[in-house]
Amino acid sequence: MTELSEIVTSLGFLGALLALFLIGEFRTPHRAEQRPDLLRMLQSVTLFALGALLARLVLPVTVVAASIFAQHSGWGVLNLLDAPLVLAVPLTLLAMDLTNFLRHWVQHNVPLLWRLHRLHHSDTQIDLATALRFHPLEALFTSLCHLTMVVLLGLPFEGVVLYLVAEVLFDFWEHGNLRTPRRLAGLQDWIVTPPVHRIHHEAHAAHRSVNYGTLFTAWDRLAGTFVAAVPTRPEGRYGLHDPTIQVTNELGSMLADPLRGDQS
Amino acid sequence: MKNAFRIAILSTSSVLVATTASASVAVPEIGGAGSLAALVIVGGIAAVILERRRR
Repeated sequence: MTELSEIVTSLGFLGALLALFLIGEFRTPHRAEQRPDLLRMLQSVTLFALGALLARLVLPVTVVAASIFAQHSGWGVLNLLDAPLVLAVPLTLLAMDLTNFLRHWVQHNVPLLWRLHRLHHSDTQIDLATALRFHPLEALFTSLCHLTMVVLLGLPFEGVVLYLVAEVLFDFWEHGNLRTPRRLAGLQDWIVTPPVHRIHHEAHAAHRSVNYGTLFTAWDRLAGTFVAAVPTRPEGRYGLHDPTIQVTNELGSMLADPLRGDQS
Repeated sequence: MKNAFRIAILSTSSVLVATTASASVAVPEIGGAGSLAALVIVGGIAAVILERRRR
């Protein structure tokens, strides 16, 4: 797969998925009064594309290209052990999800990295636009973390692609303003569901310190940071709601946000 | 209002489709970054125009 075809395929996949989830937000919204907003979506798509462009220009290779390169060069633990694919793919899903959990935890607990991540949390509505609302420097940091793990562990192409697709699906599902059927509530025993992730986005600072997971809830359970979603629990406000934080909802202000200092 | 949101879906999808289509015929060496840069420019300009209108 060439770099161009990888980026084109990724953009096409993301665009199609975004359109599909947007239709879902219209038809079965979680909060009926909240409708998708064109401006919010444009801002988030721009931030996302800027992050992907920055990663493309700064990092030597994409994550997928790195996994192919590692496979061919025999780099990384799994390649050195010559692990069979049937074992390597599930291990890749676990390794990349654990990396995401640790990255997310670090972003909340290291002030410099929180400056990059708080843009995502400053959103007072949670929907598909939030799913793409990441500062470009944060996107670069995320790609760097993925890249490092892929090369160090020699994660196979098949597993990496599977995880990246699952990551996008979960990102859209967890943030999207979509109704979650009650019969799916039990899934939170294993995977991160929208109600579980919404707790992480609540304005109360203590709630930001729980439910860091992306795909699996196991990491939060092991770290003692898991809070289960209870259907009867009233939904809190979202965003930061701190008067000292002045993230306005304009693109320029969003991009300049990390320069504003260590605000909690 | 409903129509405005339908337009939002269509325009967002159109931007993505147009960008990916143009990138696929571009020079491979610059196509990847070019398609992302096009998305940044189109999305950024549209967002700034809309921000000004809403002020």
